[in-house]
Amino acid sequence: MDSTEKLFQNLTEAAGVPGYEGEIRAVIRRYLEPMAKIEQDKLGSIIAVKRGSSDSPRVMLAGHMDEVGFMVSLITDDGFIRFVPLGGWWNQVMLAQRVVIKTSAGDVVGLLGAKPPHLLEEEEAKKPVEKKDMYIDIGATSAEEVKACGVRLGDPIIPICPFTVLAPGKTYMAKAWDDRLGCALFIQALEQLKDQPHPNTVYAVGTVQEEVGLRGAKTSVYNVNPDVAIILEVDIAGDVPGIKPEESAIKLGKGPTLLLYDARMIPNLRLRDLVISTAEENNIPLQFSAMRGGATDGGMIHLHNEGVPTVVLGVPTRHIHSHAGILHRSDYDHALDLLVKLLMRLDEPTVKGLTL
Amino acid sequence: MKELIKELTEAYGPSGNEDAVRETIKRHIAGHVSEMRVDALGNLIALKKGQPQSGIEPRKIMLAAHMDEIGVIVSQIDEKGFLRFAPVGGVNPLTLLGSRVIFADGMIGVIGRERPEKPDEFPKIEKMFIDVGAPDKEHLTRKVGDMAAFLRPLADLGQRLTAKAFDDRIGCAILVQTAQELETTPHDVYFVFTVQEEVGLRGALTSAFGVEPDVAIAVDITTTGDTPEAYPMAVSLGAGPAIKVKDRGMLAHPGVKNWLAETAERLGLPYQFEVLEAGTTDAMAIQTSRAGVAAGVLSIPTRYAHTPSEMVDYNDVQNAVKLLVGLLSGPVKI
Amino acid sequence: MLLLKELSEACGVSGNEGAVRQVILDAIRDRVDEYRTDALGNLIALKKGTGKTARKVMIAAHMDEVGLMIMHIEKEGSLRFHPVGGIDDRVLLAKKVLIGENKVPGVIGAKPVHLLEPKAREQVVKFKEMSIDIGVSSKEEAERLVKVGDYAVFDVPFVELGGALRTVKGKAFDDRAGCAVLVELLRDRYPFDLYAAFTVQEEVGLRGARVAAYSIAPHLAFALEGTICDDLPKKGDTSPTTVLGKGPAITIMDRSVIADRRLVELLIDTAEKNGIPYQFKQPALGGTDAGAIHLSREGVPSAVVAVPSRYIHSPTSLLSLNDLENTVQLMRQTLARVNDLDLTR
Repeated sequence: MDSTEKLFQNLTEAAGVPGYEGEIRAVIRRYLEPMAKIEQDKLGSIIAVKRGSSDSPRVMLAGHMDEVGFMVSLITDDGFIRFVPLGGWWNQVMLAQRVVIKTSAGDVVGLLGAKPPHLLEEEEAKKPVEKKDMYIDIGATSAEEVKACGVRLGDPIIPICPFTVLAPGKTYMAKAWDDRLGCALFIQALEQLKDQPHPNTVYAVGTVQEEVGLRGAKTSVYNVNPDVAIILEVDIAGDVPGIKPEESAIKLGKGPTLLLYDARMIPNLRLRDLVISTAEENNIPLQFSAMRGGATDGGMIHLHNEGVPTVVLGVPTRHIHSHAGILHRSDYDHALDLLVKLLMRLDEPTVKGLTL
Repeated sequence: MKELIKELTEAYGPSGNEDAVRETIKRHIAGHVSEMRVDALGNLIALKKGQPQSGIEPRKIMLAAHMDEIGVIVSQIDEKGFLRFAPVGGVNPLTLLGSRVIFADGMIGVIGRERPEKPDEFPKIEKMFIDVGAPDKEHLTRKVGDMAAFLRPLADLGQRLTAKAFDDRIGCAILVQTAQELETTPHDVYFVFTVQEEVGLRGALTSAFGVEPDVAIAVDITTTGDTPEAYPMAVSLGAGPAIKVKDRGMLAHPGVKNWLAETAERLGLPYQFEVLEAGTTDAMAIQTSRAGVAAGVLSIPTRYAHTPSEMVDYNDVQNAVKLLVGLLSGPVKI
Repeated sequence: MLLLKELSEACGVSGNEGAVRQVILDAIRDRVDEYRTDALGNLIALKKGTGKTARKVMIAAHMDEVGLMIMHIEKEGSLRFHPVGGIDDRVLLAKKVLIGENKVPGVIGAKPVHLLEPKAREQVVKFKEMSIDIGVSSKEEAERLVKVGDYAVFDVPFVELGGALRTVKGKAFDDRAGCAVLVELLRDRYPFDLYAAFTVQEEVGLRGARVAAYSIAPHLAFALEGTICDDLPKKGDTSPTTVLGKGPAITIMDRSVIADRRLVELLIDTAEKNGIPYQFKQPALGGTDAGAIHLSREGVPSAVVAVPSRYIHSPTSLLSLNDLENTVQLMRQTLARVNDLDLTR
């Protein structure tokens, strides 16, 4: 494993559902501390400040620390655990998956129970099971036993999926790429800036509670008060069976993506064009994407106070919002390269020129 | 306290029309707070100044309860003087048939329905109308845009109470009672009675921006899982006020949540944790105000929410007051 | 005609309002004391007051219109697109469009009726299945004219229809009608500082108004709109949202705001005292910039006045110049009194 793969492993395997980002924040803090001044806001977002040759412009990089997961909502008399989703889940990807419940007494491993096919009526087998009818089995036989294991209402529940290098060698499988990948990008961008002069001050922000409504972005941007922002995110790869090109034309291995618009943001057009020309001049491949139904932290950040020019850079990822996603190393490397090249360009006249 | 609850729930106050509720509250807290103001949207913001106590760090604490209730708004008036209407906030059409509503000036109307094509058809609000008993359009003094609230007096069932608008007049009553019972506090406590919660937490958004609190607690209702074949939920009437962990709009600050729970245990008060899937409260808007606020919610378990006959347990209400008074008397531990 | 023709024919889909901003700037430059464009592209102009009061009044009208964005160029050179803002798929087929800064003409292709199966004639074609034809035969040829990310607008000229209501038709009366009224109001000087905010990105979520209101920090605000006017005869006893020719529409409550009652009362009283026709917009429908403005900072008392416009969010809308002029009158007379309004309670 190289240092990037090790970083991916450390970031994706850490727990951090919305509101419970403590563990992942500690991992990120460990990476950032040698390179930057660290702050934390009242909702829990982490802010790393790396000053270049100038205080201005203030460039905000945002990747969210939280991942999709669940929360304990009810313990049944016979010792099963009902839960509510934290973030968006499709019920069809959930059954029979392994999860870990983070309790005050330690980790408790469980399984999302499913009815064996032997007992399923033909009609029933065709229908997806609704989330409210699902349960987690930790191997207990009574409520008392569950409580004795330390499980309490409100405990967070995390998918289990260790970081895995896949057979072709250049693709990786892990949970929580959305958005530990963005966290990896700002960590490694700051590493590169350590030895290079940059004409601005960079605020790398690991935000909280993105998956439940861009909440950490709203408060952290108030702390940072940036002049320009770059959101680092996964993007939805459409190169799998069942997704039509008009739904998503994004392919693994064809480069990072630039978001043309989503449900909550239209990027600043001049900043968008600056990303395109930076990619072209440095021979970095770039794909374009658009999402009518989704949003990123940019949705909050670009509307801060009097407005902030903002773009979203993405790395194509398959199967997001499930236990395991797959992405391609070359897309990540290109995204990192593009990000650093962009940061070198964002000096005061350039950023002022975005909004004249 | 039952008299106060009765007066508050029976006051007229659909979203945007909270004046009567605000005047009632002003009357009851005057003399118990240091200053009061009403902001641009109509939020009532009352401050109880802190008295310095050695060893306790003073904080700025915001308590929020919303004054508005769900209702209906006249959208068109037909030739015969029947009023078509739209909902204000989350109104379930099933609760409307046969209901009486009251306008700001005291005019009463009943809700009728067009003959359904099938007898068991689910009623739609577009197919209903308000009949205020006007013989024709010429004798009607109503106009498009007038709002009405449910008309339903409070009934005291002994241990339990039923009324309209416990959401969130019960929160208002708890805040008023807390302001009256809290003799001194080391903190600057802002009792904020918000407007327009039911149409999108609008008053909380602007009042939180103005108050800029360090810590905030919203007092609002939550649903229960203790009625026949209810949606599974671990909250029951009478088992104590509920401390929110999560709802659709917020994850409570763990520090505030634990502070509430530890205080309840210290005072020997019953409490329960609440994980709510639907719904949210003013705390959602307060939590992400400016640079973020440590926010939590104290919920009053309430059956039949958003109907004209909501139900609460009087012990839960009184215990919520005790919990808040205890909380505000000591240091903030988060 | 109050600049409506120039405003209507300018192209400004949400996020790309530059051309509309230019038309407005040319018209108001000499009427205002200061102006600036902010980070999102809002044009904010200040008409200083007579100095009698420190009150700041914000009036907002949005520059953006609904339109399309090019998402993908197919092998044979046809263009896939997404709608920007709320557009009913049913109004798209066979419409002429202009793409990008060079206004490349194209048409949203429709299958000839001869080839349609009887069943298909009854179905709505989804925008995902449509494409724009710009008359080229290859991807390479298309790429010389159009880029992915380019905006497209409907190609609709402004036309006067006349008649008793003095109707006109054109695109984007939502909200170029409001822009036209606001430009006109800047002729006068008022006792208070008037901030005219020509906002961006209203159609995708009231985004420009939010940041504009934050930076202006007004004491009270009005939003001017081109609003829904669904007034033609139909089955059933549903009265119209607004009616063409019956005057400016005052909002009591829509999905984004409950209008400040003191401002609403002032508008009504002013209309009645001056014999200006007015109507109420049917409550609980639509949303406007006032939805964002009234929640800015510690809250801003806000109201909405709108010019009824038929067929908004489709390529062609239609309004009455009488309504437009009466909206100017109502606003002008109201602004003359707004300084005396007591906003304490």
